[in-house]
Amino acid sequence: MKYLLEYRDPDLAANIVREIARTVTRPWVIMEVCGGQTHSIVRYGIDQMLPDDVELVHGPGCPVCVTALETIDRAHAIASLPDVIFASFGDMLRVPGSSGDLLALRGRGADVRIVYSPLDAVTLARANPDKRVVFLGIGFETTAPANAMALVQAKRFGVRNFSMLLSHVLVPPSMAAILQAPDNRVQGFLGPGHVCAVVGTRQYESLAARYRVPIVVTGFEPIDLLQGILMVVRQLEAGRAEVENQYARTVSRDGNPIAKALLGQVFEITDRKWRGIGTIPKSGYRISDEYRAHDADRVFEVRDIRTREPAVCMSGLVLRGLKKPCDCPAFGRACTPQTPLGATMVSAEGACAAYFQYGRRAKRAEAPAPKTAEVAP
Amino acid sequence: MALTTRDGLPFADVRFGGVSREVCLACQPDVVPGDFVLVHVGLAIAKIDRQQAERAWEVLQAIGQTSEVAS
Repeated sequence: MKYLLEYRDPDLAANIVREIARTVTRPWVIMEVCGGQTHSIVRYGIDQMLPDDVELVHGPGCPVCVTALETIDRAHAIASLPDVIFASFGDMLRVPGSSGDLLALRGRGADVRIVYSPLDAVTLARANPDKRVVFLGIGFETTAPANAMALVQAKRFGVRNFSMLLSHVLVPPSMAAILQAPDNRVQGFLGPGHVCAVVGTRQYESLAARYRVPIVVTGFEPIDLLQGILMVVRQLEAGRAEVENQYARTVSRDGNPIAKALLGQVFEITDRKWRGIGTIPKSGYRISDEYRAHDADRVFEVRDIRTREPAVCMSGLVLRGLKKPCDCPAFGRACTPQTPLGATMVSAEGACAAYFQYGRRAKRAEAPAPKTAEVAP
Repeated sequence: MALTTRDGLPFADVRFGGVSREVCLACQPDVVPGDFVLVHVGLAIAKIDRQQAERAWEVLQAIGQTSEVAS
């Protein structure tokens, strides 16, 4: 079985890097869509192993990062209500809203809890019938089946005090939006492996054909990523624009039929606003009418959301692959994982957090010597 | 891997390295003890395909050999 550790083999990595160097004849810009891939690329220094002609740019595939500020602020308003237990994934607690994060709200007395799974939030609601339990359901197609399952269980067992504030986003419309932008630089994609484990690679075929762009659905280990890059470069050099599957041990053309049926049962496609990017048509899920009793957007009427983004934060440009985190003047200074200005500095899948964690600091930020060094013997 | 059913859904204990956690198998009902699964927020969303894994590994080894011969 070749699943994990074999995919970190340094000799094999060196071979693939040499093969990429032998294949490439001119500059190419490739975007990895998924935040998990971004994290691995920065962690293992994949981008620094590549020939100068192959540039990687980071995409919008960090679900926490692209959750709209309005949704975060709405979450704050609901979590502030006295009879509410507000549940979320850990990362979401630290995403800055217009006035602080959910963790700070908890510090002020709100009942905000971390859960591992949306199903755990349903269990929480059944254990607390005198409270209203609200789960903030965010993510891409990877997370959507678990959220849908939680809604099915809540309806099935009549858990009336459970609702979900849903802000689901879909990958293909965001890729189309990037490709349509006049300032687009992306010529090929590493497609999102785990998203495609659910929906399959077939969904990307029309995108590749329409925009004449190679898409290689890729895994998350160093060898996966390097092989995916090699496959994209080979397509670009040959003038091909196809969907290929590097991650075939986990992903099939049709994905997971049970999960897809669940999504069709519980969700409907809707326009969705992405933080840092704007509204993308038909780029998200909303809860269908059949499950409206568990839709927090309909259960709680929240008005007067007035959002405020920090002016200096460049996360929108980072999410579209137009800037690197260390291009931002606030990176590593005013904005750190301890004091994040934007969501890309919060999540483990955020490009800014990955750059910070693995020491990709801007040279200008490192240039001044520490003052203590000047007086030390 | 201990299989259980709760609230009409199948669950199993799945080992992640040294840590064991209960995972819902509703979207992968055919897995058996010893299988490798991809788990996301408590739900198994894919089963690792052994044959595809072996095939992929052969392709990777071939890349290595080609490069070694060429270099």
